[in-house]
Amino acid sequence: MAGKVKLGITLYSLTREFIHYKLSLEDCIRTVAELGVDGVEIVGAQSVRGYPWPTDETIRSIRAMIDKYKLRLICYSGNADRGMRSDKLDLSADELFEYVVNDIRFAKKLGAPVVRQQHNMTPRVMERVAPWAEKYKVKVTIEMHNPMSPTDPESMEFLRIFEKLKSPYIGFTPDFGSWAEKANPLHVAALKQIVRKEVFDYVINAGEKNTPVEAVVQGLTKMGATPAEIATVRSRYYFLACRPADLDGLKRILPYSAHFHGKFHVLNDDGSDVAIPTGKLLSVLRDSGYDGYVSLEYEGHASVDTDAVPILKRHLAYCRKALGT
Amino acid sequence: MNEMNRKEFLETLAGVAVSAALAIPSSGAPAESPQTAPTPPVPNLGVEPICEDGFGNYSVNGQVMGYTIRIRHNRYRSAILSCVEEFQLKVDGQAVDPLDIAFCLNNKQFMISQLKDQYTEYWNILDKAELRVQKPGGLATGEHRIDLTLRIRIPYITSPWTYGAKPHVYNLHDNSWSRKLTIRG
Repeated sequence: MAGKVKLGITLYSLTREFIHYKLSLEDCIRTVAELGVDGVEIVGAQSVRGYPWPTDETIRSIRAMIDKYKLRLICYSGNADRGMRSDKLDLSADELFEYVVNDIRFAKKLGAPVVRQQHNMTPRVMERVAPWAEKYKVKVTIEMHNPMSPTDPESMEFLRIFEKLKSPYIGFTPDFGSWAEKANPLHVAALKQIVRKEVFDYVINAGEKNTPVEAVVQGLTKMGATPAEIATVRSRYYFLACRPADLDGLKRILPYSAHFHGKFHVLNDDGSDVAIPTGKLLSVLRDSGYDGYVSLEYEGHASVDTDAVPILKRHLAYCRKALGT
Repeated sequence: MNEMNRKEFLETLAGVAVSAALAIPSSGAPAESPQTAPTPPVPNLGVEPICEDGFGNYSVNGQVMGYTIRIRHNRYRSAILSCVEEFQLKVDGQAVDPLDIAFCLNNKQFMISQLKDQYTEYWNILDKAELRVQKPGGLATGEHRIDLTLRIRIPYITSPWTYGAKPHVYNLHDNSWSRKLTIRG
């Protein structure tokens, strides 16, 4: 039973253009329309002035832009800023709950059917949020972002809640980056410039064998790596470890996935990502009957200064070909 | 978690709280290297934290009472002011007394010591905060070296990553920067 996987683009892909004032918010939305998709995703904390509490005026103006370019708002991405306070380490469960319900309400006002939230909101808060997602008819999803995976204990705890409540209004937004099979070349390049050769060779080697990060840190400590070198390795290791894409895991969480992030960083000549097996993942989605969106998410900009539009164009063409659309 | 606890904890994790958003040298123009200040790498999203526009002396009723510097944080999304963990301003090698600085944003102004309490003030990624520094007579005409220390907590990324990990700290984004700016006569 093949579904009709739909393709959209998240404005996060145009981060560089936006923060350097090259594209206004309207320009970004228009750019997505010009690229030929019908769905746009907005990151609240990036694009919505006043997030998490945009004014009615802001909401009106964003809705007008989306309507003007004949797009659909496919996802309102919120944040679980659990560490925002200085007087305590973490927001309480009550506070996290309030922030998420707040995102639901504004997503509804903006016309987004899906909220992307983050694992920091915790499975317990997700249980409390579920009836509110249902009341507002807005799907609240946890992004499964690298280093999360279908088999990590926290994701499995979320999955248990989803299986227990069986509500279509809560679920995952899996990010394709969690199925990367090779090292991300941008992080490889960065690591090479930051740490000494000995450390670099060791880490890349360990990554190729998918050695657990703690074992790598132990090895580095024995080698006499500095705390700064270890810090860099820790922060980048999940982009360097190689493992076969867990397609069974993807199939297991698919019934509980309302949205996807089609992450990509660096492209091959054919428009596929160097490290992430996008084609394989899209095939699984298509064959499962998934008829929601995959929001293409270009993140190469986090490491290199590139023009996002031609890169988005190439990857979009590749994705269309992979889906046979 | 106070400064000392954070540092002790970080030592146990071998100093892990540096964000993955740390700069890598890009192919763009190299950053200026003021002689005695550390050379900052190019910020990885390319936004220079110290802005050229808005730098100058200001007057009140005809009297020069100080100078302003505008700053941005170099990230993809808004920050929350309560996440500012480290802030220092040095001009020409001298640390500016925080009591002489008004941190102006969102049509409000804050003392540096008050930033930690502002968990409802979001620093939009497109916006420049203005540092209004009290200094009767202002800065002399000519070039001045500005050293900004600005480290902002990333409130949704912890080390270790898992939400349930105890203990944990939130990663820090280092937005520190140095730049020479000119007061025109």
